[in-house]
Amino acid sequence: MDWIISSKEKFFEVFLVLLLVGTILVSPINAQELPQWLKAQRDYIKQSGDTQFESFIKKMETPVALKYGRLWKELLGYDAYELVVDSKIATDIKPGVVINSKNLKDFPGAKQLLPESLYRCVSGEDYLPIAEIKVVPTVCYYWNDNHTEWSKKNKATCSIDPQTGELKGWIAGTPFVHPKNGEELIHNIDRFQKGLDQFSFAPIRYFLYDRSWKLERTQTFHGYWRNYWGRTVVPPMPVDEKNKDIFEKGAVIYFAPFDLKGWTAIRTRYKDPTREDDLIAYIPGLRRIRRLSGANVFDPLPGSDVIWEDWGGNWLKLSNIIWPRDFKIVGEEEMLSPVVWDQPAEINIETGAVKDRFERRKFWVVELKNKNPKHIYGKSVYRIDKERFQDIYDEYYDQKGRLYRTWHNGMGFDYEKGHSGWRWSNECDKINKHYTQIENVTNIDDPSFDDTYFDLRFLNQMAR
Amino acid sequence: MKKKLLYFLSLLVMLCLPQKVMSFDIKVLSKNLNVNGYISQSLGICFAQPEDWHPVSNYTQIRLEAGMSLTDHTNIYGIFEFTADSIYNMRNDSGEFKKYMPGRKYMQTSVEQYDQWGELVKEFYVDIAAGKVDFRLGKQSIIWGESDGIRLLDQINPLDIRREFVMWDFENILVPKWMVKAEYYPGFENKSLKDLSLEMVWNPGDIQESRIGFASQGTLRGLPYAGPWGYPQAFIPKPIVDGVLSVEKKSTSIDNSEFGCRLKGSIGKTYLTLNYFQGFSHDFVCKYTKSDILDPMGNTLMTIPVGPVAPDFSLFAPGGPFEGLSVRAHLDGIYRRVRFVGFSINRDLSDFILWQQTSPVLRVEALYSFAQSFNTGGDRLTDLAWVTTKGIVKKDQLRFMVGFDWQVWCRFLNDHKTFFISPQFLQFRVIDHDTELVQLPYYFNKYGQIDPWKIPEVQNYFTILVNTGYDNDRILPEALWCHDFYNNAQFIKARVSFSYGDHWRPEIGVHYFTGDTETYKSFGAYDDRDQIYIKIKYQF
Repeated sequence: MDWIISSKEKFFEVFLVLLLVGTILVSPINAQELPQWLKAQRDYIKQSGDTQFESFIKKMETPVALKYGRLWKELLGYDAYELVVDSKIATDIKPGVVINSKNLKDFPGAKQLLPESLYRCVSGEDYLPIAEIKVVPTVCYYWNDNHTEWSKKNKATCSIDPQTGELKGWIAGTPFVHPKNGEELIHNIDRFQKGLDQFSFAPIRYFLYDRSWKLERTQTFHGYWRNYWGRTVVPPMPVDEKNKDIFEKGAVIYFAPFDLKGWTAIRTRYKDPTREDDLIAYIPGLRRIRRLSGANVFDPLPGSDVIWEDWGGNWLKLSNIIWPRDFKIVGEEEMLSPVVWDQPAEINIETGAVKDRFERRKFWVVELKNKNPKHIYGKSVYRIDKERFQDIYDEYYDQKGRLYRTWHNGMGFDYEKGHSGWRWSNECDKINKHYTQIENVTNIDDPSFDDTYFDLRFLNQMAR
Repeated sequence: MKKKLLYFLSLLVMLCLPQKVMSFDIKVLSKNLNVNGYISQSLGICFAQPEDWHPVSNYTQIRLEAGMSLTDHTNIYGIFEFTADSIYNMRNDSGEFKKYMPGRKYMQTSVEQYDQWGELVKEFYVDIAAGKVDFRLGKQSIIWGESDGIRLLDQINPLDIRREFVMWDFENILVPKWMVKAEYYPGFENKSLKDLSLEMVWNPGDIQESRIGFASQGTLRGLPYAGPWGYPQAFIPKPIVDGVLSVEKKSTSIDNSEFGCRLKGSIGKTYLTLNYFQGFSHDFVCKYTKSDILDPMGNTLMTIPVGPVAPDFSLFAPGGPFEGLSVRAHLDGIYRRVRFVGFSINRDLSDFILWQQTSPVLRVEALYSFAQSFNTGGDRLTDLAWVTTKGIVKKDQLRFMVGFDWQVWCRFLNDHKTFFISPQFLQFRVIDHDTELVQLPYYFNKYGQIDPWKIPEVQNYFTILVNTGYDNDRILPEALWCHDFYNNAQFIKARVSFSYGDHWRPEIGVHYFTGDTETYKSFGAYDDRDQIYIKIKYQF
């Protein structure tokens, strides 16, 4: 009989252990109250049956995501959901609503929730189509704990030199988590627009469309990018000490079409605001490596509408000495913005039209006026997310005041790394009626490459 | 009728191609072999005689490129190219052929020209990354230097200029060689020195020469007929009625090895290379070997070997001892060894010049060539002086180039994209230039007078390349102008290519030459070859 008693005791012990383990496993979620925004997401998923979106939201409920989200919200003092939950704007546009060109008129509030240029894209009145906006509840994003910690420190260390307009005291994180003016917001974009340590596109595809919205060319290339400051995930962190004079480097290698195949370029952006970029390229037609003017950021990439100035958010160095500008917050807007999630973009390649899920979010609207008439743009308008400090909709006006180009971003998100990348982007030339739709699945913080992807050996190895 | 069908054959082939074919992968031994390339067809029309425009070329070109990764550190790559010109098959019985291109038969294909199927393999090499050393083994082209159009340090691979001189795309006219290239990256760098590497090139004896030919039959023979873009027959006055040029063919032999090395690195903002090369010249110098004295029936009466005294024209004059007789001249075309050191520099000048947010990039290239072989007129500047034993001399030569690349905004012409402007000044200077150096066999003018194509002590060239893009780079105009100051000769190569869609790449262009046509000095050799052309390419 002893063995029977013993078995019962053991069974009880095992039961206790299992109970304990189970409690530990679920405790992070239950130990703290689920944020309001996640409750709203659960309700939406329950009602809509949107299983694709559910898989993303489940990731946002994991302990690491909740922790990063809590830390970032504590630093900001708010989250994106709180900023819009009680909104009285366009109340007809609720989660679950699907907007397209056919039913747009049924949603009069859409005019308030979309910038005019984007509204016209949905309606079909303007060049560059948006095929479908599927509205979901607002998601709250965050940066990782390292980034948050640095951002906290920046409150005491970061400043803008009133004479030169240059950023001082920044190492990593968001320079100004409580920006007081447009200049600080633009510096936030400048330092963390890319939102990650390093990334690769493998591949990236440019779809080029003519004035009748017809696909006219497709370009395929690989891209690698690396920040040397502000690193919070991939060592070395936070700064690559060997390359302290460099802010970032990027490499592109074209694979198609044949007449671009082998065109390879490496760009180096220096920390010194007075030092122009290095741009070195392999030109297949010449079978030679050639240095090009790194200062030239206004020429489009081959065939496309994308210029370096726009690709980098605002590539020219922020210095009053070299390119004096006026920065101004002209307002705040509540808008529908593409969800920053982990699913690839739905791009209709024939027309370039995008289908995506959109959410209500609050943005600062910042106007940047170039004082130098030699600048390709007279004015740029950035819509900067109040939670993520990234620009989603940019409008660029030429020196005559005409809307010249627009840039839209559909960003991606890695909930574990607390970093973001791209899923799709487009740049549209409104004057010449041509646009470039970019399918760019980002390998966020891709650890598989290092500094050797940006030297002449790499260029030689890629050269054909 | 049969011949005319050829006009449309290649176009038909292209039109039959599926419209959506892009580069594609084939599984080979469980690896992906990526294949891409193009088929092109171009028609050239000569307008040098304004009253009589006529077609001069009808090129068909097929190029396939294929690459495969064998391992993480080993890649294999091949370029296969076939070129043919069918204009002769189609037009050789026409009036303009008889009038402007007498004696020319037909142009061989790239295979027939060199009589081996291996010519189809344009390049074929294996890349191996082994630690700090990258190897490239196989048939390849190695390009050095910074200058465009006129080559200085770029002396490793010769050019095939039988078709349109240097007007074709550069990669199409390179003549690859079987070579080994090893590039060592020590990984050493500091704040001011980066990208340090040492490149070593060894050619185990695959000696290739510039591929040239004569445009037509004539007094001189020994080079293949290269169609309208061959060298014109030199004017050879009587009593020479036949010139036999025996061009040397170097055997593939370890004794004919070539070697080069290049140290590269960035010092601050300056990219610098130091170069050394020893190998063979791509261009031959002529060496006179003997003269046959011929009777009026063409029979050899006697042979005069090379010696200190050359046959004098006056001997054949009326009343002279050889009156009524003629001469067959024998010359060897010899490829001599070359050896040079040099350097190249490029530097972005944004520190000094920044205009409209672009800056020029300085390019400098220089080489010093040791004991380079030249033909000389010898001691006497009369008659057949160049057939004396002093026909070849060795002189050092200095060559340098200074140029800029500058992307400049000209918004009144193009508000969307910069103009790429690339001027170059080049100087060739013969050291210790104490005798007349000449470019044989162009020694006489068309009046039979001595008027050699001289190689002066200092020879200057200027080139400028300009291009831009309209309509999102779908319309791409480009122009290159090259001027030879000493010979007052120049050429213009201008074209507009169109990039609509992913596949079709039409192109129209013009090649225009001016220069001395009395001796065919410099670009004057092509003065009667001005042409417009139209090309259509299908790429995938």
